[in-house]
Amino acid sequence: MIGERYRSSLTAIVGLIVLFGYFAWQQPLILSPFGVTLSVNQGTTLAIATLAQLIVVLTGGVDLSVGAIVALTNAIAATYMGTHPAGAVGVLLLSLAAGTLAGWLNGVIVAYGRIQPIIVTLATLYIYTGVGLMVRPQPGGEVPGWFANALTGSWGYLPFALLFLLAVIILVWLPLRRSRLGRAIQAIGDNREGARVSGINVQRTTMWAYTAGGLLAACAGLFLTAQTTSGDATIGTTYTLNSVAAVVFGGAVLGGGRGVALGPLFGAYFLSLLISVLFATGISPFYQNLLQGAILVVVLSVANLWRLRTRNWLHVLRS
Amino acid sequence: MALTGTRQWPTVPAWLRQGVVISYVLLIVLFVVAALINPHYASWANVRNLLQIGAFIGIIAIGQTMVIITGQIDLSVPWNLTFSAILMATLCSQGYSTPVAMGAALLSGTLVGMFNCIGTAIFRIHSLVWTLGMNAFLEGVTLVYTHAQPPKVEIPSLVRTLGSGTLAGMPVPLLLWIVLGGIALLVLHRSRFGRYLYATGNNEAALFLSGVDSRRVYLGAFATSGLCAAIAGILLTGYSSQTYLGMGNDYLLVPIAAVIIGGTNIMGGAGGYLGSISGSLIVVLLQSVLSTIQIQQAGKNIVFGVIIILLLLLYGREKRLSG
Repeated sequence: MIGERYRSSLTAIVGLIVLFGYFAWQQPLILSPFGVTLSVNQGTTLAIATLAQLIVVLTGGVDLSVGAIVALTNAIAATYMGTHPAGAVGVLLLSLAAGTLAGWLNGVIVAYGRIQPIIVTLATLYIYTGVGLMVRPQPGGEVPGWFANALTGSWGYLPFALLFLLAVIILVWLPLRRSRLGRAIQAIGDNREGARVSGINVQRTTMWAYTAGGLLAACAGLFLTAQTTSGDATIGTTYTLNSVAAVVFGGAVLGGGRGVALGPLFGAYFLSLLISVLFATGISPFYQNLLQGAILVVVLSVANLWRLRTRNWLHVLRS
Repeated sequence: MALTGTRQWPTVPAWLRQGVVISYVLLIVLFVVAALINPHYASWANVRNLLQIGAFIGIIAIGQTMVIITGQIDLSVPWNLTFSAILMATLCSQGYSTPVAMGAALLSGTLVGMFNCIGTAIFRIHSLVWTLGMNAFLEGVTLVYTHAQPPKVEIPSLVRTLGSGTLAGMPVPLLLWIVLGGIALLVLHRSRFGRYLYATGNNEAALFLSGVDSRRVYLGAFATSGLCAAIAGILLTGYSSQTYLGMGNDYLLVPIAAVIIGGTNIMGGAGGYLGSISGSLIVVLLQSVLSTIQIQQAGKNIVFGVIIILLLLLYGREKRLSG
């Protein structure tokens, strides 16, 4: 049933609604078209990065290099885009290709090298950050105005960012999940040996899942470029942690096999709105870091409070 | 065995195929190569220097090895280390005696470790997420506590001795590493807690059924990791005679890489500290060789990441799915 399928997303959806309600009560300005666009723009990079993380988490892995890929594409796009439309489109494609290549490399090492994803992506995190720093040692660069407007503008209450997210979902996510590959990804996350026995090529599936993750992370990087209109090779660190957190908060299971996109997407907007709320309350920036970490930890604990009510701890250990 | 049709590889004795053995062979090969390229590497002064820096990584690797053996990971080391060090320096500047300040740092590190255990063992949130979140939280705590300006204080001589002094020609951190490493080996291989660590990583449900509360095992592992991070923080403060906000940044990947290179399985249940020792020395040697090559930081990041992956491809691979 549909309800059953999306039940794991409920915490994130309710969380986002409650938080948005609170924010609107505190700051009615948020309900203006401008406020809505601003909030959505804040969260869209993380939302797409979360999709990138989710596709990898579904295989039972984790991609700690998501943030580095976001930053790498951001650095490439902002450095080479220039102002000429044709050149800019070429650079857009180039940065998408770079992100995809980075994801593919993760996938090849994980699948064919048979090394644990955590340590592979932790190492490639260094590599991609290094490459990004070579492209753009200092933050800066420039982005054509039309590009920034096309992704971050709005049409009344409808931010273009949501259209971009929708485009990513329709062009990348849905075809991926609805295809044979998508089912295979879920299958190997659920039961690798079972998937292998029923004829799924586990290694190839893993490789493509990471590649898709790279492509999605590159999309996130492009949106970030439009949003910040500059490039920074070290901007990505927060996206790694927050994308994993959004995936978990959105009801997907680290370890693979279970999760839908809805919850993680809401989780991503929840986390970024949380940062805006903290910012709006006017507390010192030092506290924002602290509260962000603290809230993340508290939110995850609350989402897992039911563990304490478990009668038989053995069920927890086996799940 | 007359299995027709299957290719028979020349058999390598099982003990030679162990990660620990390979890592020591690798360490020796690397060292010999480095010494052949640059004879300076074989000098006692350089070896002593490498051992001293290796001690910082090796001590962190004690806790990390235990955590990884249980099948978890501790990504909160960098800011736990930094916060402990800055807490100690601040207390010193406020006129507390050095042992009290050091004790407070050790306590804070251990408490952070215990807190890591709450999320991981009780709420069953994957330690990857939880400790990464804790790391961000501790970064915030440190920034608030110091207003982004670590105290500029005279580091007490006791701390400086611990971090950079020598005793009978040996660096003090190295001696400390030998003592702590010895304890770690005893705990892992000769104590009940050590056996529980492996059991938790192998089959937690079975351990639970045999009447052991695995949450306590996690508590021990994470608390040790926090304590080790705090010890490393104190030693690093003494070594560089100052505290600064980025002092923990290099200690996220490197100790984990050391543990994995030493043959401990990141999924838990297998491995040991003996390998982590050679792993620590391998990464230190690599870093030192890289630092003598004239490339910028970005290049070093890339080369280090590539080497870690190459080393793991060499022998850190998992078994094929059966078939």
